[in-house]
Amino acid sequence: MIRVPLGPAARTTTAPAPAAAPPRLRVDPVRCDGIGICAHLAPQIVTVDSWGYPIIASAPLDRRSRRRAESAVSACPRKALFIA
Amino acid sequence: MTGVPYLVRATTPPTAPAVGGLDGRLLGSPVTFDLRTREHPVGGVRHDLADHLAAFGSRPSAVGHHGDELLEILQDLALTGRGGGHFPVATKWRAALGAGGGGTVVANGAEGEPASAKDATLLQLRPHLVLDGLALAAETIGADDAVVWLHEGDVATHRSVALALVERRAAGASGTPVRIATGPDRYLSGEASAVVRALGGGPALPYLERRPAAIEGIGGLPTVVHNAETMARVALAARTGSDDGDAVTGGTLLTVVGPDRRVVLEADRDQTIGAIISEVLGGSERVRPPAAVLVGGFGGSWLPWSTLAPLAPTEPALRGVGASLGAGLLIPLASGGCGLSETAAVLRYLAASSARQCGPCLFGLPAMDELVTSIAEGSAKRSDVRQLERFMAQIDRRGACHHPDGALRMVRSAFAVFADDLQRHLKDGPCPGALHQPSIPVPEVH
Repeated sequence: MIRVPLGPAARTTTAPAPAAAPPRLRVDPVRCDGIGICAHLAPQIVTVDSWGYPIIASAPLDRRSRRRAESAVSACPRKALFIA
Repeated sequence: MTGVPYLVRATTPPTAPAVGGLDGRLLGSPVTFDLRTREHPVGGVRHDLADHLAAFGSRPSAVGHHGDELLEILQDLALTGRGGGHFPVATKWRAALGAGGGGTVVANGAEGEPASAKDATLLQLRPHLVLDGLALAAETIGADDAVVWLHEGDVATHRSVALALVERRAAGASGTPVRIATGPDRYLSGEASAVVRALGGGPALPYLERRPAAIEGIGGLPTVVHNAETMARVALAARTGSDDGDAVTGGTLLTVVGPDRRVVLEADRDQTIGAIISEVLGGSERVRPPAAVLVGGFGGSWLPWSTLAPLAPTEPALRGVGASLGAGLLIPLASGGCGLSETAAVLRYLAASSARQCGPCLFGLPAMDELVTSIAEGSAKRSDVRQLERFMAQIDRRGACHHPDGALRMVRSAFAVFADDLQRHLKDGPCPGALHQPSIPVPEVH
């Protein structure tokens, strides 16, 4: 038996958003140019990948991390970050 | 037939659909294509409006409570989208209605998958079924704009749809007016969010849907995009009702890629994928089955023949082995071919087809391509494989669309299915099959 890894879920972008998911910092990767200010302002939440683009921690925001996330959102020159 | 840009050959005698009855078939007989053309002029018998009405009967209404009834039918039948996502149709329509309805409905005939020809076949031979589905969606959701979306270079499909619209107007068709819109002949022009963005006046490139387009699409209004085959199955469902689900959801249009041709056929759920592929490959007992098959599309999954062959051609069957029927493509590994080399060729195409918007896709896919190519060529070290795995972990689910995820799925499945080949390539260099040109028809990206 050859094991085949489960691929990522097939595209379901038109699914209604799950109700009441806890707020997270999110990035619109189309807007993002990998400038990296977010990773400086909120290093606990944002790291960068091999090409300088932000990887955002999956944990929901608590009160303190929310403040850092908000500062990253307002500092992003591309307005690529949002909390949802 | 050398020099002719396409070749049409029915592999079984064409059978006319039962007049006045519904056998649930979208197509009468398989349709054969040249391997590499991106235009899809289809032979076979096109249904004009009179043929269509004789074969399928007139379209029921979906206005008012008829729309509610159609939603119940679609839910009972669990009809899902046939463009690749396999998302439930009724759920999408209800989301649009929940957002107040109205807006735009789109029948998407811009097949991104270069090897796929099922939607072009459908739109050229049965345009009125797709237009019926589009009209039913528009009536149910209350849309005031209805669009058929095509690749701009797909002239033959454009001609068939335009003619069908003329036929309907001449017959005095009422309801939401339908228009044809086109996007560039690129892989991602048919991606659902790219369609929404283009119809909203932007470029035909994917965007991050902060809210689903079915809820908030063009102009902030609901925008429901369905693959052409999905629309045709909606048209069947409205006619058959919930009691004859097999007539609607039992069949699946597939494109099977053989060594010298592509065949679009309609498979039934009581067939096995093994039998379907064997028939297209000329399946005598002397022909050895392929070692593996790329299922779903270029961003699909490699599956070993032993896993795939006994399965029914249905999405649940493929999900059961961790794959997806995707856009209905079945691409067998050529006899003597090297799965890793084919994987590298397909990955190169996917990397070149990036919309070049999201960093992890724009930079990540070429970085993967370089490493997978070195593996295919037998020049990679084990550390390169580890580096590739690090890259893939970084790229996973980080695009606005699922293009990079498809590339990851395809490469990861290749490493699982061709695990022994991978070890040999690392230890001994390329296998004999890797010295041939890849056999999968991968177009140039301009």
